[in-house]
Amino acid sequence: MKRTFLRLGVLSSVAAACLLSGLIIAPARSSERPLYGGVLRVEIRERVNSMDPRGWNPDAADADATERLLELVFERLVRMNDAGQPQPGLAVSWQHDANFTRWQFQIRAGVKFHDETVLSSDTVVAALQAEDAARWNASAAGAAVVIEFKTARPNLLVELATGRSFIFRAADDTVVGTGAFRITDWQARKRLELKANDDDWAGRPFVDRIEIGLGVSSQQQAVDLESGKVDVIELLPSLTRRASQVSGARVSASAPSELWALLINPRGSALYDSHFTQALSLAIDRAAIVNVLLQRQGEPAGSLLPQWLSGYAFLFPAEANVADAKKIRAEFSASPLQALVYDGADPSAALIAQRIAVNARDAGINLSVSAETVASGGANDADVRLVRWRISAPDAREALKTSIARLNGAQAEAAFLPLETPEQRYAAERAVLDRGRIIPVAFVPEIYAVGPAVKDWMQHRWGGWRLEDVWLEQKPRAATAAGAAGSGTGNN
Amino acid sequence: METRFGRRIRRAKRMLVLDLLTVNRWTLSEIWARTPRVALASFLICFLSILMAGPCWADEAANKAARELARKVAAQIDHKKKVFVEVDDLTGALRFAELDDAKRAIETELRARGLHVVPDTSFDLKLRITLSVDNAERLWIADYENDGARAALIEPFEQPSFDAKPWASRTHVDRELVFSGNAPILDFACTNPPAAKDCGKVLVLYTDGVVLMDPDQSFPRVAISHENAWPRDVRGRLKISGSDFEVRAEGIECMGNIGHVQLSKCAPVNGPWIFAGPGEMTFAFLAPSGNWFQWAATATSNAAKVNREPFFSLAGLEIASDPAWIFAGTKGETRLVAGKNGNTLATTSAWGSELATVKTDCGTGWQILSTSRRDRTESDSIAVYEWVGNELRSLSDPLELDGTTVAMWSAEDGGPARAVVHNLKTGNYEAYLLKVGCSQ
Repeated sequence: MKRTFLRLGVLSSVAAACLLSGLIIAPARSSERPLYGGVLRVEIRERVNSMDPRGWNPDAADADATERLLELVFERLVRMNDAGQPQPGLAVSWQHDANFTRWQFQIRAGVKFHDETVLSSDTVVAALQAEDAARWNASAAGAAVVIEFKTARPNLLVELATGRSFIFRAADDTVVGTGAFRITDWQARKRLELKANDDDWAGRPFVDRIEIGLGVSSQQQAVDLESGKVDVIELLPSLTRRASQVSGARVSASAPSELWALLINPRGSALYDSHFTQALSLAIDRAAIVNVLLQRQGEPAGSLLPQWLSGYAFLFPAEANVADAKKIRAEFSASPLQALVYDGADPSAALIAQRIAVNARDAGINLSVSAETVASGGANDADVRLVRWRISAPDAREALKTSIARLNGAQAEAAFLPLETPEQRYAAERAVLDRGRIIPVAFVPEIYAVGPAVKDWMQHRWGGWRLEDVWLEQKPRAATAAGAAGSGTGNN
Repeated sequence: METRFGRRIRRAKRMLVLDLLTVNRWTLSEIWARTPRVALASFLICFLSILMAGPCWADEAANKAARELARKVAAQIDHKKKVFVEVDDLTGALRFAELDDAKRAIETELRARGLHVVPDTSFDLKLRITLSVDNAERLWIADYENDGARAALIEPFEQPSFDAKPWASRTHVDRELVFSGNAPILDFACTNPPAAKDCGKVLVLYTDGVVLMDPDQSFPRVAISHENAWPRDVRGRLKISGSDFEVRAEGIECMGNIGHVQLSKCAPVNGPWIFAGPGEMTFAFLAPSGNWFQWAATATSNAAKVNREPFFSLAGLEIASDPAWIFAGTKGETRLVAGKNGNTLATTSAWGSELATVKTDCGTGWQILSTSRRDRTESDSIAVYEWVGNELRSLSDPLELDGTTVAMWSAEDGGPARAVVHNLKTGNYEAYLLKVGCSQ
């Protein structure tokens, strides 16, 4: 008995000592009021082709990465907060008529483009019309801009806060913005270097410069983070664990903001029947894809919008049911879906496509899997394509409208679908999914690994960067024993 | 004739009303601890209400929306069918009892509309009601299978309003929430003196103006305009003296009177900021386009020489009746210096960049409040320290906040300090008075 007590005593002493030493030697956490200065180094996988907002195509493969970079240099009239509510951007206020056909935006005073030209209502009109003259019937009215439409545009603020609605000034061959950073070096597909805009109307960013390496492989990014060569990297779910083991680094994930889905191409087979799509959908073990392949970074998807955005995603089941899948498969003599393609440049896509093929085989559906590369020009006649779609806005209506418009032949339908209320959006999603042109697989967040010197790293809920608020701890500070313990010692 | 039981209920209600008049935004646990009468009476009234008049459900918006959803459901379902209702909550906001209340409210509404609601599994139609939330609002969702097809009806309603509750504190520092809003707050002031029972009206300094939170006067405000862009991390301070107030926000100074806020005068100034401590004043310039202060001078009877490291925050105190200063330097070290000769008494690198001092009747008479060393993506905490003997001694466990402290200022008279916290859960900016208790 004595021995037990002795052992317990020793163990508790050791535990206490460990706890105490942990308290004393634990490094101090960083300061909280931002410091100015330093160079933030970022690497991304995508090779961005252009920093000209006029050439940005939201449907291009590099669209998301390009938008990230453009948003550092260019601004829009309106911004969105995390709740999807419009906030003043380059427009400080707005009003509209009762029919939502005439909108007036008051332009922020004192804003300068990076070439020192003052922002005016004329330049705003010019930018909007350069983006799409047919879309924007805009005119200057003093310090305001008036935009008129033939039909009601109640969701105009969301349109102006997202997509191609950047405000820029084009002169000669250059395009300049008003954003927090100005371009100092641009090498297409390789490198972007930015400098803090001292005249930013929202306040100068805290870092002096940003260096962004483009087209860096995920593995190389991980190595560069480990060696301290970069501060922020994109993270594949499979590398999350490795990144979190880098000393002082932390992993930051947005809310699920991208949809992995299978697009079914009805032209690929004359035998196509939406009922067959249901068999394939029931065969997919989404939970395993999320838990194993995506390392729990995401959630199974049965709908087009994630639960945090729609509130009703749980009504679309995402569970596998191989028995039911087999039953439906048995109704068909031959499989109308035979080929599954994925983006060969995306390392996660190969794994997910292979797993889906295995699941499909269990239900008696044989899919041949192949990578789609830029060189192959895209296999347009593929029966099934694994795609990755980013949620276009933190606004359920706009996000659903964009998703539906991306489906083959549904652009016109998306424009006229009533999507104002959650009930209407649910009905629209249900109708689209019942048609069997798309099978949602998983929602995944945007994940970044952030080095120890980076402070105030915050993502929007739906993803994206806020590099203007980031600051760098320039010198690591050693903790004093007394300091870490929460008290200081006199030294006089 | 009134029964004895009835008289007890009436008495309990009267006492509850009386007690509620003295209760100012306490937490439930505080109400239990401080006024068992209130708690007991509330419980009794709620319990009796459930028995006699139906569910006692505090969330009126949720209640109303649930009933509205039930009405929509009743219009869709064949009234001959026996309906079983199941209620679920995906938000995690409802307690078991509240879920039961919701179920009862929905069932009551369905019955009132002529539906045959059954409590067991002998149903023809199972109605699943779910409380959910999207990124903007809450949703009551009813889904059911009707003739082989899934159907869903959705009733959106507002998010719960921010529940402004002070801490139930067991430590020496307590906070009192005086204002909350979604726009960034730089500083605030109470119109009532510190000794008053409550804050009175609140004067709030935003980045673009000063507003008196007085609905009777339609929230009078004065705009603060500036030609040059301000830094991203704006510094601003509000001082109140009687009915006059003074604002310093970056390079703008405003003077006004709380009776006529809209008539306040604002103008650019180049002079230093003044930090008043007991017996001394320190003058410091705010760095242009920066968020830190550079020492200019300290005016004392002894013309003391002080450490000149730039700082984020500074507060005065007394040590053995002599003036002293404590400041959070930009290099991460907090330094306590004697006012007399400017000697450094102590340094620590474990504190955050916001600090304030409070004069009390406890301990040495002056306590120091400091934030923790966390960046603005993490929730902050505030700890209380005291200079005792030859060291800075922690008086309590840190008090955890729901967000990050974006500003903290001392009162010139040593009264409660002011802190602005950016709540990371709600996104709101919350103005708190920080008071050091004296229960040692």
